[in-house]
Amino acid sequence: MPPALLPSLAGSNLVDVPASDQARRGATICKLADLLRDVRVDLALVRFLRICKLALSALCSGTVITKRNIFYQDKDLFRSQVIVDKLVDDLACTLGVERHFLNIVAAGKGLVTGPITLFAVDDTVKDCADPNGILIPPMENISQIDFRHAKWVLVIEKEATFTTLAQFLSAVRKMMPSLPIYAIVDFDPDGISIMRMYRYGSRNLAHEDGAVEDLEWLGIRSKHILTRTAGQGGAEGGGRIAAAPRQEGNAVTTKNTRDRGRGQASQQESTSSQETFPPSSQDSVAVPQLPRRLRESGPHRLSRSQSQAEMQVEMQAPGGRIEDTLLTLTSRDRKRAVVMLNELSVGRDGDIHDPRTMECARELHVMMMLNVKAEIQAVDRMGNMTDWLDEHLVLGE
Amino acid sequence: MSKQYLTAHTVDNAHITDIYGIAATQRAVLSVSGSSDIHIHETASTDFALAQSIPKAHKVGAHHISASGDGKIVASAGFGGELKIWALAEETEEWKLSKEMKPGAGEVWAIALSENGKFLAATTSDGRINVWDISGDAPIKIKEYETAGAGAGVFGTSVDLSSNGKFTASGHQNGTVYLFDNELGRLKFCLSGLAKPIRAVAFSPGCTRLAAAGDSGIIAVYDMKHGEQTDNLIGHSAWIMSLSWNSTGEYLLSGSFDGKVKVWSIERGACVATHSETDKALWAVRWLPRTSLSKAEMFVTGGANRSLIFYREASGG
Repeated sequence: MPPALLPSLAGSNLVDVPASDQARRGATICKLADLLRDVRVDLALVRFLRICKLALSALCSGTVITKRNIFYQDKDLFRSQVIVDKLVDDLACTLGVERHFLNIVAAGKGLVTGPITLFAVDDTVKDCADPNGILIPPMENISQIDFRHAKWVLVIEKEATFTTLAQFLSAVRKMMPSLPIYAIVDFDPDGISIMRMYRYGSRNLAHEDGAVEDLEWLGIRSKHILTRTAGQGGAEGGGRIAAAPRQEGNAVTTKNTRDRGRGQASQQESTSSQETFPPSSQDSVAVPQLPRRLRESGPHRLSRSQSQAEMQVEMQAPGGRIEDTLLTLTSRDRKRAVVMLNELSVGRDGDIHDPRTMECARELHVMMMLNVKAEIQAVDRMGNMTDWLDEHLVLGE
Repeated sequence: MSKQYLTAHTVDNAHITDIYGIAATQRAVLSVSGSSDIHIHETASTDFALAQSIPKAHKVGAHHISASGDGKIVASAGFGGELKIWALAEETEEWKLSKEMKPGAGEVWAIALSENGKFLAATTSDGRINVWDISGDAPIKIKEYETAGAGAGVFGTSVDLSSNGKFTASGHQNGTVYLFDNELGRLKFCLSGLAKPIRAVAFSPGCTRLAAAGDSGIIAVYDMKHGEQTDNLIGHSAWIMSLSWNSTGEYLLSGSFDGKVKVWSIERGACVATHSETDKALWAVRWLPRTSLSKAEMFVTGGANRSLIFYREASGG
């Protein structure tokens, strides 16, 4: 980032000039960008100007552009999404506005589903009961939310920095201070980073409000994926391969629940709600099933003997072992974990003592110790997460 | 006949986070954790008092610590990628920082010190094993063993140096154990009996055997001459995180992810004692070296419950 340019841009009242002037200025910037490109000056400057131009055309035309769009406008120039993200944040920061004032959003998708109703500023009403989810409108378009009988909010997130969602959650927190908000993210450094982003707001976007300090980190945690990772044999004294290990019981108790619960859990339907926010298309396979199935199953407890009987079957079921879904950390993951550990310890005198920070640090340590990570999919059953949610969200309360 | 071990002492909350590594000398146990301190507990006294605490040794915590056989040098490896060598000051009996190494990201994971504290072996995230001579002012890398083409190796989870200095062994995430001949500077055996990730490798004190264990829950014992698997110790029902041989090589200690610690008789090929004071992961288990003062053999465990638990062999065992 060329520092000399920033004050002049910031002082140019870019956002205040009339649209025609903006367009003219945009064209000039564009020409300048091309020129600068020819003479091979600092790439960062060219990229920055390019983003200014794209933001300007978005503002002029009244459209919204995603950071992903920007990247694909000129992949060769931007090289990576991260570079775009950073420059967009820099631009917003420099101008002292929130990012969406530039008509730039982090990602195009973000779905919400559950018994809530959104009232838009233009008096349109959106019912979110559609089990396939509806797209979350930008927060500035929402005037009011009717939460009806919603009992909690569940955030399912696969990709980082999703400002619309962060702001939506923040608004939900303000409107309904007592509504529990849970997050489920991948068990890897990025997942923890995303969860923390929702909890504390993004560091780069400290001027935006989007923090839900009391966000509950539901998973995926090391305990969820490692309690079933048993080897073979359970005989105390040792000797030969014996019965299925006891730990197996925990994670499978709900399989039966789901089957039995289907016919009888309807009274639960009216009291459970979920908001799911899959920002990428890969999620849409798993998530749309979620609210429907969860309501179907409802909370039931299994007797110990039932779960044990089932666990024996489980051991032999092919592909049923969470151990097999564990992934190995890449060297990037490990570096990221170290960066995050350093961030967690920054500004503190010696050791971390805040329990929630310690919790994050511990998960990162365990990840590094075992050199494993797991995606949200590790705990689902063929794309269906309802069993897991039954156990950790409904039964866990 | 099974052996009897009793809990001799528990240091509750020895660290404020999980204890990831334990090293034992003739006089003390040194432990590292997810917090930044190294703690040193006396083992000669009956109360296992905290003799020294080294604050801010590893900013974001440490995962491995290894002591030389003579108990005068200790190496610790931090999550931040840094390596620190500590020396015992003769007069004050305090541990002092002797050297610090920053070999770069991914260059140091598991570590092992040689008997005399002169050499240090460390695994890398891409499957290499580096050996440094740390006796001089500046550490010199004297060996770099590769287990695959450049950058293509598999994460090295564990390493050990044989007490006679002749061999280096490493365990990897893909389940392979490599045995290197230090004199010839090349691979001697590639042992792939366990299939699942290896978490611990350990040479017997007489350098005749090598034990390896990990996610399969089985301890494989290999003879060093031919690389044959001589034993298959089955009984853990969770990942095995740590192994340690007793001073005579008769017994092997293992700690697992479900909090169980087991003592195995090598002669009988069977588990002779199991303890589970916790159901949380044991990251490290160690026999304490035998000294002229101690008659009964002792071992120590540390892990996710943040406590150090000392065990002593019951008399007559």
